[in-house]
Amino acid sequence: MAEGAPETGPETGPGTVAGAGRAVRRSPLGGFAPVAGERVRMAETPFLAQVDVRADPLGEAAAGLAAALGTPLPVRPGTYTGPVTGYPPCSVFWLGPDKWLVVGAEGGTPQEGGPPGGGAAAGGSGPPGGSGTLGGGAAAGGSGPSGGSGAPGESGLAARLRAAAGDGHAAVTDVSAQRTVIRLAGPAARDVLAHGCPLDLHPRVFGPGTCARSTLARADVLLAAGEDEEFQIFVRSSFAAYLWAWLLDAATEYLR
Amino acid sequence: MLLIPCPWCGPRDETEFHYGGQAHVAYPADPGALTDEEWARYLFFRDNPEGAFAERWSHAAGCRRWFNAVRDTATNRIHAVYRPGEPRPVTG
Amino acid sequence: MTRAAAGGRIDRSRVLRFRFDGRDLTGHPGDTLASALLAAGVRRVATSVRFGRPRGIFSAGPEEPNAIVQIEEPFPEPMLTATTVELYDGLVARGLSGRGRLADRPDPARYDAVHAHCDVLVVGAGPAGLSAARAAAADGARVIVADEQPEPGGVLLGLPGGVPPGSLAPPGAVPSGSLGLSGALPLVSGESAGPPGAEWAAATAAELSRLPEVRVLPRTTVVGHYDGNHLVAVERRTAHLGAAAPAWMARERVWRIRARRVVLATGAHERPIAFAGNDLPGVMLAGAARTYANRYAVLPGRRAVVFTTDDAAYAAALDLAGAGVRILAVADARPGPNGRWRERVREHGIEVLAGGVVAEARGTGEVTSVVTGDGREFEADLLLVSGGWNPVVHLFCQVGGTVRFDDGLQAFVPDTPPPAVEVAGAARGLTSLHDCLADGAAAGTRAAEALGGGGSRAGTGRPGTGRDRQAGGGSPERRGGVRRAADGAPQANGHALWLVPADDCSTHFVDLQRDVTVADIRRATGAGLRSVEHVKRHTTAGTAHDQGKTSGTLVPAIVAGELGVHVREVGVTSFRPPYTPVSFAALAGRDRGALHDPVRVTPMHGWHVERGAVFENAGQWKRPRYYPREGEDMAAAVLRECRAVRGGAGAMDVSTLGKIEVRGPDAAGFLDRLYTNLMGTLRPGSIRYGVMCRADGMVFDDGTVIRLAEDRFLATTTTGNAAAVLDWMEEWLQTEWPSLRVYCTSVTEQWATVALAGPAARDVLSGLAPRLAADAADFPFMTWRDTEVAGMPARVCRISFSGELAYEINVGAWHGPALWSAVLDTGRVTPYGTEAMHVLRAEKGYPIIGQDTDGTVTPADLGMEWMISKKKADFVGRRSLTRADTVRRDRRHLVGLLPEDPGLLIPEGTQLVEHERLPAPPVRSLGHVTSSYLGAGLGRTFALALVSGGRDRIGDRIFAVLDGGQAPVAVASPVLYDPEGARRDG
Ligand SMILES: [Zn+2]
Repeated sequence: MAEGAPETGPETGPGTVAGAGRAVRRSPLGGFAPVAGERVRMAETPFLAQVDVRADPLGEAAAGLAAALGTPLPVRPGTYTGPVTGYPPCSVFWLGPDKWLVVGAEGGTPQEGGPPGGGAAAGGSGPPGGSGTLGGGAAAGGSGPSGGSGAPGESGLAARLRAAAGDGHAAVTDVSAQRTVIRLAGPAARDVLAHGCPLDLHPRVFGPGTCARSTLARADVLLAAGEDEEFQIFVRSSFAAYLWAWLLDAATEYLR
Repeated sequence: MLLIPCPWCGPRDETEFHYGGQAHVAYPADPGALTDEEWARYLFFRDNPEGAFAERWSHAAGCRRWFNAVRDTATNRIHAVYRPGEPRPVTG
Repeated sequence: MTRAAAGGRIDRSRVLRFRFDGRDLTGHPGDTLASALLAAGVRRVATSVRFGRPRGIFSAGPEEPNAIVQIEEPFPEPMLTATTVELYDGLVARGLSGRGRLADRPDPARYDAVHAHCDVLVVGAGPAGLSAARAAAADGARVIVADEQPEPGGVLLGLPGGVPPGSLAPPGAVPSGSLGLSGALPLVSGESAGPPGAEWAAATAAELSRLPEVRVLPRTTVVGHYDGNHLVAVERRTAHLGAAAPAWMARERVWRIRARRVVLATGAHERPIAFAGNDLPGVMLAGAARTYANRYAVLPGRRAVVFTTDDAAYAAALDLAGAGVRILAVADARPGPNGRWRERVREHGIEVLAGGVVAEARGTGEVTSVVTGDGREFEADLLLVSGGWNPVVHLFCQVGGTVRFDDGLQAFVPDTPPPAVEVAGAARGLTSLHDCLADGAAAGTRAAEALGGGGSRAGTGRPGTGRDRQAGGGSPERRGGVRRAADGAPQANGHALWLVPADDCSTHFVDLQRDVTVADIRRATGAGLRSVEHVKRHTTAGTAHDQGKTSGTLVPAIVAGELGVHVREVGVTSFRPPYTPVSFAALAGRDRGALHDPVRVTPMHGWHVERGAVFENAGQWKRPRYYPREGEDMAAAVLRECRAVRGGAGAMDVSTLGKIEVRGPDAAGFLDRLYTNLMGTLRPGSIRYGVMCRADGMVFDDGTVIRLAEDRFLATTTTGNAAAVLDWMEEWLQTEWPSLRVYCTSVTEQWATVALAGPAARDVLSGLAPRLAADAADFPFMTWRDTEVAGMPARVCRISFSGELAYEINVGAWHGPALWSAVLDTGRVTPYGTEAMHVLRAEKGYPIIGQDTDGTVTPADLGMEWMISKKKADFVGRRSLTRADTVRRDRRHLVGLLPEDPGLLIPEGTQLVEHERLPAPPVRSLGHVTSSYLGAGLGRTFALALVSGGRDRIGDRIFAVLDGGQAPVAVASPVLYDPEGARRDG
């Protein structure tokens, strides 16, 4: 394991579980120190609300989602929209012709008015934040199927989007913890990515507003380009530590 | 390494794709009505031409869509890509 | 010493110390190991592999067949060519005899890789390549120029001029000098009309480097050219720095380049001629000698004879003469040598033997005299040979280009190019500098225009000049192929001369590295071989590190001569990547050690590490196999963990199981088509075990299906098949059943899952989830509940993989560590790993897909006929289950095995037979052991096995074939523990 990976795992143990509705959360890269070089900066953006949306882009559900989001679901391959305002701030990434990833500020619990963009604050190794209340949504005690369609503890964003999709055929699934986000920025960010990503990352080809699912090193990722040479790398949580170590290693020549 | 034009994402490296074998081999409407031999033909027999070949690919590490491609097995050139359900285009 | 007093592109102000074969020597920056050795007077560099003959330096580039060396310091590296090793201070090397030695310690250097994309990739920074790059870049195209040399210029670096490195000529000036490849106007030392070539090259490269979209890569060899203009290059970034190389910098970098257009400006290699003793140190390609004299200011000898079939060697002769080498004679095999060249050398007092050949190089250990065809013997220490030039078509052919034999050039030249590939300059047979410059510019312009850039590119060359002159140089009537008549004498129908006939051709070397001679080739053709590929394999010609760069045309030509056919009918052997050898370290790059393959971990991984879990790999996942306590070995730990589950409560991290949400009005019907049993009848709130088959009827995966709502299911998969099952579902939905309204979404890592198993599980769970009604009646087997566990929103499923009362608790993955700690902090739960899980499930006869199955096992083979729905019209694989082969009675069934010795643990994979004593082979195998354990619940060893007709053999005594003899085992039901299922409800 390259430097930067913690020797041990999360500092769980006796006392980390609070019995009364609050529990310690831990993101896949919690405990990994951010990297702040002149040419490369890297940090996890933990605990984002992420919702997988499947729908016919011309169907009723997509229309409902567009109305709620205040913008159509992007239909141009390899693009994303956002952040969308007038709704809990979120961005909508094209994943496929009937598949999008909606990413909002704070995932994990149904809560109103989470910190706008708070999840995108720099850092990523902050104290695990037990934010919001638990037990909302479908997480009623001891029940069987509630007839609702949420999962226990799912994000408020998911619930809202599901409501917006209405009765049309769609799948709105909370996947907030399925992936985490690594932000990679700086003038050498593209160079670091090019060590492991087969995409053409030239600014004319992969500029702000573009995104693509592809491979980075040996992990599948969703890569999105933002302003100021900043990239968001969405990676499956189980691969996050590997990818972090790989990125740190790939950045060796640019961190000098 | 092939550069495969995904009908949705555009040209991407072969490493992002899964190969799916011969295209236009439909799942039989009523397998139970087939003889063993007919079923075996569906299961085990595929063409292996030298030249243009319609085959299935999935953009597994990208948009995850299946599509068909006409590839020349001798030169590895891809002459056309099209979506499932569409007829095989005429290629030169 | 043989270093000239002045000149060359070396930095005389610095002295580099190195050691070769135990001798301490010196050289200068700008030297290769080969040039430094020649400068030091070292002529014997290596020893031939078959005959142990002394070998010297034959070329000045990557085509070198002879001078392979082992680097010892700073780090051992085998099989490098001395002609391509840049000299550095502290280099220690020795000559090799055919094979090197790998380092016995890990290479500490970094190696990495990078992806690159460009509009135009130009391979080679010689005159054609640089011209092409400049033309292509004129419109702002993204251009990469890759060149194997440390500085740009290619062949120009070996031309006269002697400008010091770094000198720049004004951009755009046309370089002077002759490539010496043809009968074009001869220009030699001191006759420059424009700036020296190297100066022009440096200026042009600098001009290119200033363009934002152009990248010039020196020390970068393009080694592979693949489909879709994907090219792989290796950049040598720090090797030339020796011990001073910074550790943080990748020593070599693999470039994976995707280019929209490619211009191959790869130049040409001079080829040798076969004659007696043509392998002695002192025999050297004429162009190489010229490069040593001009570029490195090294005189490779004092008294030289030149043996040539073309004009190139004349330029070499004049340059060497100018540098102080005495040229005794030029043996020009052509009956009518180029008059202008002949005049020129005669002015220098050099005799030209028209129609002359060299019959033999003589000497012991090195050349001391040269015998010409007319019987004259010249006392000489250097013999320059030029048998013509072969365009470097390796990359062109790798990617599917075809070649044709050009009678004018007497070489194989590019014919039909692959798509989006241009060939320029000497690589397609052009021989004058003027033509190469124009041709490169034209190729670069064509490449840029093909990209749709349009526009004119004035001043970048003369488009079209080169194209009209396919393989120019020399008129066909002046050149032609050689045909050997029956008497062995060369026929005078051309000037290509492959070999000088002799009765004894046992020292007429063709492949110097493999020690293959003309005699060897004659033996091969005499044995009936007619294909050049067969001759290659029979003789090994062309199979060494150099892949026959110098012998590649010689071999087919000699084969053709033997067979009495034209060489074009024989053709060339296949060109395969890599063009030059690539180290495994470079190919491995950063995929070493911890980064070799992704390590996937669950949210609770840190806890497992902290508590000293021993891990096992499940695909890319790291899963705790067991948690040894102080003094415990694996068997003891696993036994303790199993007993904890059977006797109290155990907890296991099962977060790795695949989880797929299947949603939509047709979800139930969709699952009914994929699983063998009915899922549509499952009630919301309930759970059902399911098995999936491939269309061939073989079990593909299994898992539980949870019905969340009428239109919503959660399907779980085995750890290893999570991605494959999702792919399987998507494939059917997209390609066969697009009308089904179903969406599938992976949520594998959305959830952290803890299995809580054992008679005490209900008590433990009730304590953690006070709001959950956990009684067996309220929360029956194979149902699920949403609740809170330890204050976290959770979904609890009552399922069991151990036969014990058990639950699987799912929480959002961020809460995984907290849930895990909460469960263990009850103090009543023992963590257990995959090994205990395997034992517990095996005692119950639950198969593990992929361990107890191998893609040849049907549900019925597993004893799961009950899983095959009779009510459904079809499911994937159903038709296959009634094929003659799948209804055989003697198919291998999953059964239990009880060794008669209850302490005997039979290794997994052990073969099973009917015989107590093995009869003579062939012995029929009854099957094999798929799982084998010491069972905590059973209190003895047991196994699962696939046994032919196994269910009809229950109670039989069969034998396990072990190293020490056969061990008797009893065939039993696979369900060995609690067959009544009494423990399921606690
Ligand atoms: Zn795609």
